[in-house]
Amino acid sequence: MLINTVLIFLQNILPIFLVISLLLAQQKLVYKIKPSRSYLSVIQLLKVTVSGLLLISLLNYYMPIISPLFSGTGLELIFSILFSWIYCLIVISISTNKRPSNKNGINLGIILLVLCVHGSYFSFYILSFTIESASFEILYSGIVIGVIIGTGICFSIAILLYFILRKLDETTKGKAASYFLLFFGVGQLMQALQLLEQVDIISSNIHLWSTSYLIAEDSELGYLLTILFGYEATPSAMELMVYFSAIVVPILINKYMAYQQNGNIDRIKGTD
Amino acid sequence: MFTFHLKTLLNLNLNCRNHLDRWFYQCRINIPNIYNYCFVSILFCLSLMLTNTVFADGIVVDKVYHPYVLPNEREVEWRMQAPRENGDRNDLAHRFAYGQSVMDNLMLEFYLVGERDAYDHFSLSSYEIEARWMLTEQGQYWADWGMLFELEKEHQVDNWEVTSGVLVEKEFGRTSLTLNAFLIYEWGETLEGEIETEFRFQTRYRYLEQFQPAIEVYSGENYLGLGPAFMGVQRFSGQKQLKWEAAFITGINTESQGHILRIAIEYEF
Repeated sequence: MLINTVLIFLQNILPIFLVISLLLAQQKLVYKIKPSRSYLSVIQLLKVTVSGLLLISLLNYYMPIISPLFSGTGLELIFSILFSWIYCLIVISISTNKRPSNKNGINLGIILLVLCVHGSYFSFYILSFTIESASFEILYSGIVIGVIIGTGICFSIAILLYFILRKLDETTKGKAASYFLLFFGVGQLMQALQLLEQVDIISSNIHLWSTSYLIAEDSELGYLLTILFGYEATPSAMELMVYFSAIVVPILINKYMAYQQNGNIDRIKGTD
Repeated sequence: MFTFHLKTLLNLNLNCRNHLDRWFYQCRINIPNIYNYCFVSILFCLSLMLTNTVFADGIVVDKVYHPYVLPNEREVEWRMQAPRENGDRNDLAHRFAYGQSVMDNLMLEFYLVGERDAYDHFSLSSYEIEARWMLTEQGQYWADWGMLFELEKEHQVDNWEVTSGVLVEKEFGRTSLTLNAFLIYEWGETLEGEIETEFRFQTRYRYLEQFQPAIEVYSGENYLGLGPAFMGVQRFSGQKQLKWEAAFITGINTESQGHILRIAIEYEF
């Protein structure tokens, strides 16, 4: 029970810790540029956590109503929309790197969505277990201790990632955290795509290759790579196309915007 | 008899310290930083390569030892290991220990090991005595060195295990690298006499005293596992302190699938 709880906690809750770590690492650079700007605070994070827990409870409560909608694909559709929103907000967050006025709100939105989506998966497990088992003693020893240890391990990974990104940022001029964040967003988008494939809204084509023998998706390394980079052991042509477009398009748009901005600055300087 | 052994041990300790002092002094020629990294990398790679030379019959994942002993140190310790093999039943092992430093740089620890059997019965499975020997003072040389000796006897079965190993710790700013390399010989009633090697590697970031994230790697007996960990210490008055550790290790080669959760709580006084 204890080890199962830790395992499921790590699989579902780790993305929440990782996204906070990525956002904090990315914000550190913005804070360095404009220290007067507000920075994600512990109180804001606590408020988002409480709101997220309320949303998870609501989602659980309305689950029996949502699930049969759209010919039984309601849950998959809602989750795929939420996953896509996470990606969109991450792209907006990255593109507003130099305009941090709305950044805090967007970042809090990302955390809230990730908390809702991934937290609700974990809550399904807890609920299913409480229905099955009536013993409070087993519940206490297994789930509570498992959650405490799982939280400690998630914190450990998140802190290490944060300091690795800070170290990388010193050599890449702050771009490492943004790229990692983009990859995380692409990973979320891939999960949305997989859900849509599951309910046959998108037809899953023939798989191009399989790297399961190297890194299985259901292994711990596979989970970590899926969260951080959207790793897919057996990708279809559609998934591959979406994956690369989701990386390349925002980068190109950002470069174009930066180019235009620099052009405007040069023009203003020229007229002076 | 005991006095003679203790005297021999003391002399050996002093002789070894003198030899080591000279050896470390000779090695203290300004080694550039890059060599530090190379040394650690070579040790780490060696630890991964040597694992294929042994055969399995035990759990490799345990505590990563640090090469430090405090004078007049006494401690009680509890360790738990919960391995889970590919969704099958969970095994469970508990260790209770009492340790005391007998010299400024030597600590003896006595363990009682309990395990849960196939029928979910929990009973004493073995007992062991362990000696941790701090060879160099902390920060005295390029790295801190220690040694570990352990003798284990299975309860009810006449099986024995002798372990000796080197403990190395190197600090790079707020990061600590610890390597344990063990040579194990086991023999007995139900065991074929064999020599095994085990390596444990830990890289720890000293973020806060109470919370230090780490990554641990274990290899040996055809097992290779790695995973995240965290540890911390809360200091009280005098020498009293409470230490905790937890790690979630995943087998990463084909022969070591599954997970091991390990927890340790230690009170020093």
